[in-house]
Amino acid sequence: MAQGLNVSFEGETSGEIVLFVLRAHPITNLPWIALTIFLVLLPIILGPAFELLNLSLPISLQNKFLILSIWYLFIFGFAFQNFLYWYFNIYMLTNKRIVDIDYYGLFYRNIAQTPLSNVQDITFTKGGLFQNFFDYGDIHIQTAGTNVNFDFIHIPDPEGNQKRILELVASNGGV
Amino acid sequence: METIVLDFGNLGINAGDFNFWLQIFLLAILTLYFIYVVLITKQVRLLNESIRTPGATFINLIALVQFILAAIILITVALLILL
Repeated sequence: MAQGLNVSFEGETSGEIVLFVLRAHPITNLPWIALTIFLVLLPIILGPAFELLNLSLPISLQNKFLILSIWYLFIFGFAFQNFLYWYFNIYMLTNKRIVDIDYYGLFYRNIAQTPLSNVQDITFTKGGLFQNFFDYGDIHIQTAGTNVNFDFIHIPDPEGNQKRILELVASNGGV
Repeated sequence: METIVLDFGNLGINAGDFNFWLQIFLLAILTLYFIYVVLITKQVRLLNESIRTPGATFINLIALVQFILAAIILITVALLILL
């Protein structure tokens, strides 16, 4: 019997076990993390630069502190929102089906699912220096008939995960 | 080559007025941001209810910290304007 993860979701049926959860590779967060670091450092760089250029606005010390607080609050919000996009864009495989949860915006979610027996073909793509170096890529799952196809984007170890999904689907009478 | 020096202090702007209007501007921005934070906090709670993961407590905590920080700064700016 397969060991379930400590993850569950809305709409889970009785006896359904989440076998594995996939998210985009953590390295895909690099652009927003780099931008966050740059934005955090910006006041530290701009402060002395303004003094050097003799640019001074009649802003009180109190207001300077408030502006800085708001600036860092905004960066915190930006980083948190990006983290949420990554964390809640989940691909789940249970012992019964494939579930793809996409979290796009503040109040927009898309949940697609298909039984494992509907899976017809599983392929993966890994291209480019970055994807090969950090070992991540996309897995494409083709389903029967008019059902939606699944694209697991920027998944770590696409070969290994393709094999795991194939094994799971084969044990459920698919492919 | 002559260096052009910009000194905004000599533009005839009244520092007191400038700082007051700056605080009003900051209050307006913070109010909008606070609404966004309230929505995010609610969204995080909803997401954690629909997908139950081991990191749910941590994410709820971050959302709460963001909410408290935004509230503290918003109240500070409002008090500075009123007092």
